[in-house]
Amino acid sequence: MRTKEDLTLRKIGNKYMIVDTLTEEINMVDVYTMNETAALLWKTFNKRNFTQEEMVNVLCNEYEVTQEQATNDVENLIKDWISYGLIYND
Amino acid sequence: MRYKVANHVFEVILPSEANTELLLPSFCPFIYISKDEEIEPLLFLLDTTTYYPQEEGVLIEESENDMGHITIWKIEQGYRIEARHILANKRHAMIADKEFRTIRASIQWEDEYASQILCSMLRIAFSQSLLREDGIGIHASAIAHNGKCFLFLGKSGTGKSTHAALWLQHIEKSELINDDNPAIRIQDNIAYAYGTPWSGKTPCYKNIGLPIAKITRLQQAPANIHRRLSDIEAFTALLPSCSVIKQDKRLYEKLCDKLTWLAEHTHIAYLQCLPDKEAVMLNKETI
Repeated sequence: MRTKEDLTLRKIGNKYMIVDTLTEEINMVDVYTMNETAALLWKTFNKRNFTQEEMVNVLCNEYEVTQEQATNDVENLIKDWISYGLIYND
Repeated sequence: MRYKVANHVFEVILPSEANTELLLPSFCPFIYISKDEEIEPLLFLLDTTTYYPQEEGVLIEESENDMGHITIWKIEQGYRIEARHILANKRHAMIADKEFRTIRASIQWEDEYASQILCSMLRIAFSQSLLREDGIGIHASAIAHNGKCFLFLGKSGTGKSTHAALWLQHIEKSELINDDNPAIRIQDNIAYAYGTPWSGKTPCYKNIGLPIAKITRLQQAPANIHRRLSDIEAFTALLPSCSVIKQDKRLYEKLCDKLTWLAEHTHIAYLQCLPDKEAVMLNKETI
């Protein structure tokens, strides 16, 4: 997997977001909100190829979660990111 | 002729026979006469006398409002922007470099709407080059009160002008600064709003800048409900009202940087409202 080019993760207050600029419709804006965990994963893997296993490893190293929980969270996150067009799954 | 809007100087080169005051009447309060010894850096230069035709580009934006039909094309050296008044068939064009520093325009002066077209072109040139620097062109009505500025945003037809007019009617010592397109600048960690030569249908061209007290996004509703916005909600409330070429990654990033700052440092609110005095009082007093 890899992240879509040119997406900038921004911290705003204590939240994170990615603003997708390439929306076709005038005045339609896609702002995708991320929590701290998702933002950490994004920062770790942005601009390079990565796998689900690598993401799970980061979660397990950084947080006190079981392998199973981490895998579950990462799977959901990947689905979400793909549906919002933030990453390519190739 | 040079103009100073939001404390940025720009230059417009017109044919020698042109009467500037008749052609750009709303710019008169902004005429800038520089003293010989000081050289002000120009925000941009728009030259209407040296246009040359260009190769085809890729259409990236198309819009139509009561001012005209505007198309933006990406070309190799930057952008070509074509404009036509909705009641006329004359096509005008300008070519800007990627930075919107030097712009060459071809205006068909025999068009009875030539003046409005030039005004629109200058608005586009100003708002894009302002993004490159420290500001934003925003669709809003702006009211001054107690030395500070209140901005009202909303989709076209929401009642920004109506809400502004209600302030003038009900709030003593309130003054309209601009009714369509003020400029915002962030200087030394303070956000200011400025009057500009672009004010929609209301002739209000004030060469004034004031610190921003509050920015309120308005929406018509059957009752008045006020909610303060923060962080991402505040950002999202501001973004659709800003003038930007969305396909220009660099300018769009600059816009997002400034809006992030505004969302964190400015009072931003969402007001569902009726066109009445209560809505004005709610907006003014919830701060």
